[in-house]
Amino acid sequence: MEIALKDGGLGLPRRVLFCVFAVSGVCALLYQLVWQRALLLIYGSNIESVTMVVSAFMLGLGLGSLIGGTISKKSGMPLLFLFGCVEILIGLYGAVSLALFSKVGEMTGDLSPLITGVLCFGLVLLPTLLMGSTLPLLVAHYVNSSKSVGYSVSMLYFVNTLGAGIGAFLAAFFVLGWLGLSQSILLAVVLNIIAGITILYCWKKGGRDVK
Amino acid sequence: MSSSGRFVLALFLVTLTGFISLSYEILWVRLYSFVSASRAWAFGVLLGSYLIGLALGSLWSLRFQGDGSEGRGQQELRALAGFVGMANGFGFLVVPVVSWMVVWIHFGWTFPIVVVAAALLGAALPLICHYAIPPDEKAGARLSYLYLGNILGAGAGSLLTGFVLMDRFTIAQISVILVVLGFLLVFGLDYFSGKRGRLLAVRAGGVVIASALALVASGPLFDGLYERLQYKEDYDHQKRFTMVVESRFGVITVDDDEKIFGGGIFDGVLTTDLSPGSWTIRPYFISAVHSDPKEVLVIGLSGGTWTQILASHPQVDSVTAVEINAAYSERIIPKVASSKSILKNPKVEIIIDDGRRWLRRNPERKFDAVVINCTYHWREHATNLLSKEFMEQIRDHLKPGGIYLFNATGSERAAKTATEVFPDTVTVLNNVLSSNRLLTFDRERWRRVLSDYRIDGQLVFEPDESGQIDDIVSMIDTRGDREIDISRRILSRDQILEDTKDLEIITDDNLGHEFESR
Repeated sequence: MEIALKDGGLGLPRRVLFCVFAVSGVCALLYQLVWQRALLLIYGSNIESVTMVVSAFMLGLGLGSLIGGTISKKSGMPLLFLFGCVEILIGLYGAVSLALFSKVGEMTGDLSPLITGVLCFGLVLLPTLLMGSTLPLLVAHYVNSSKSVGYSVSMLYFVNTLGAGIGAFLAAFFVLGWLGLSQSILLAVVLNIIAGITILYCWKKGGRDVK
Repeated sequence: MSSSGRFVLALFLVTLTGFISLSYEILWVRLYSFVSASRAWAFGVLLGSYLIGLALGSLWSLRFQGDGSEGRGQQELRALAGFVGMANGFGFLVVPVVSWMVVWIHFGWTFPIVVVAAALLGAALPLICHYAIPPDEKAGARLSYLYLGNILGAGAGSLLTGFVLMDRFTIAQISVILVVLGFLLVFGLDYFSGKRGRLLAVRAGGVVIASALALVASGPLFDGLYERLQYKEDYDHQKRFTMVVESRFGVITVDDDEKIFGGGIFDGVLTTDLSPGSWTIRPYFISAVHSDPKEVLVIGLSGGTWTQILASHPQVDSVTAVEINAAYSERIIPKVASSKSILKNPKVEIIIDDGRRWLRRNPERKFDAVVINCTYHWREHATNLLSKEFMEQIRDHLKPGGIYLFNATGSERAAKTATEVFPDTVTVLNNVLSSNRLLTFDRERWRRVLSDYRIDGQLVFEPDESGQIDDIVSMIDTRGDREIDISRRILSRDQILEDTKDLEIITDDNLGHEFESR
């Protein structure tokens, strides 16, 4: 509760929340670049497949946003706890993702483009739902202390998108070239799990009384 | 306006601004893909610049968010109108301005322009959220609806602009469409922010004039665009491509030297002519190592010259050509004198598909020769055609004694990879030639085939040109000579292994050379 009081009901130091959400953005971008690449290897890198994979990502993020928003409406929900769990779940899915894609690809690589699109959507649905849910969850949580939607959205969108931008630069200049696909995913998994554990630790230490 | 009316307006606004933002991003992806010749790192840097711009725009928007007092919402809408107007004007200019800058400086220095343009676009979402969402317990839920609208708009941009508009219009025309759409949005925002009467009429006039200006200016602004992006510091304002084909697959250009370029990088020469020292020798080379190539698979049709050479081979019965970009066969080859007959040649079957996927879907198809004139080994997705996994797929589609000839564009790692997959491998010029059996070279057989070679009914070598044939086939006798000119150089498997002992092979996972040129 000490932290919660110090941070105006936020439940953890603001800079910790921002750092974690930025790291979440870095991971999301690494996953997107690697998964897109892996799915295009399986289903073909023609423009139709690229469009299907990108659309699947977007639809997943959008639906995830709706789910996050719906959960955030319920009073008494431990939003910070949920955010921490979401980060860990994304990491766990990331850990098995490439093996899963490969297995599904072996079984389904010769199906029609439409079914291919549905499969791409299915493979990225769970993680993108989770990723998409984080912004509404955190905005709902942050508005409690900031009392300003614009400020909350601006700051959270800023740190998360900045993290994603940094992730894109890191991927282009270092990560993908040095680590390759599977090790890059492993890096994102580790970062995700550290981020999730940090949030759960803060929540357990001081923020559990803050909804 | 009631709070529900305000929310409906906000939903419309986030959807439209999402559409415009992503549409601009698609134009910029095309711009940087072309100017960088599809270097893998360039896409990452563009994406990073775009996202950092969005992030900064979000932060910047804080300065324009009202305090919730009297007139709540009007301030955000006016600020939004300003941002959308500036973002559109700026976004419209990014492509032509970058095309002029790269004539003078490296394209890497132009990414800050994308950051600024994206920052102007990125201010929209937070401003709209502040305008429409009260700070209560439903803030997260309401945000989720707006966020979904924004993502759906962006998704529509990806589909409509990337898939439909890109296939029907040029980048200049799409830029005009987007800027006019953006200016109309500015007018709508002016209306909803409370402007009426003379003030609104002035704004309407401003929108019409700005749109007309964009339309008129697009001609000179975009004229010579792809020449500047491709030639950069060597750009000559009087030189224009003889063909520019823009489609959803990318941009293909042809210059007046009959060179074809895919996505801003050399793709081949539109000629089947063969002479001593010519690099056109490579597809003709298959008869030096294969006694009876009946069925041939070509992956990557491009301008069709290699397919023409292979389909004209006196022993070849059928050529299956798999090409990922339909624009080559639909819009380029019909205009290329040296290769257009392949479109009517019953020996040639053209399939539009991803090469790897086609191989996976047709495991029963086996070939005497598989030939790929691959793109440069450092380009994005080049690994897909140079990796161990892909070569294993090729190996499984070769008949006994079948050969695989691919353009490694000089990549020693690709050559080493082939030595791990195939029992025998040599390099021929900058290409790699592998087989599932030991390669044997037959100079006389190759000579006979070259003597009989006819393309479109015309002999490649007239009877009085046999000296040229002798000169060409003599390259077999000098194989193993490292000092000879590369246009005649053939190196053995042992020589490849010696030269590459410290190099790593290429796999799907390590992405080969793609990020080496960073």
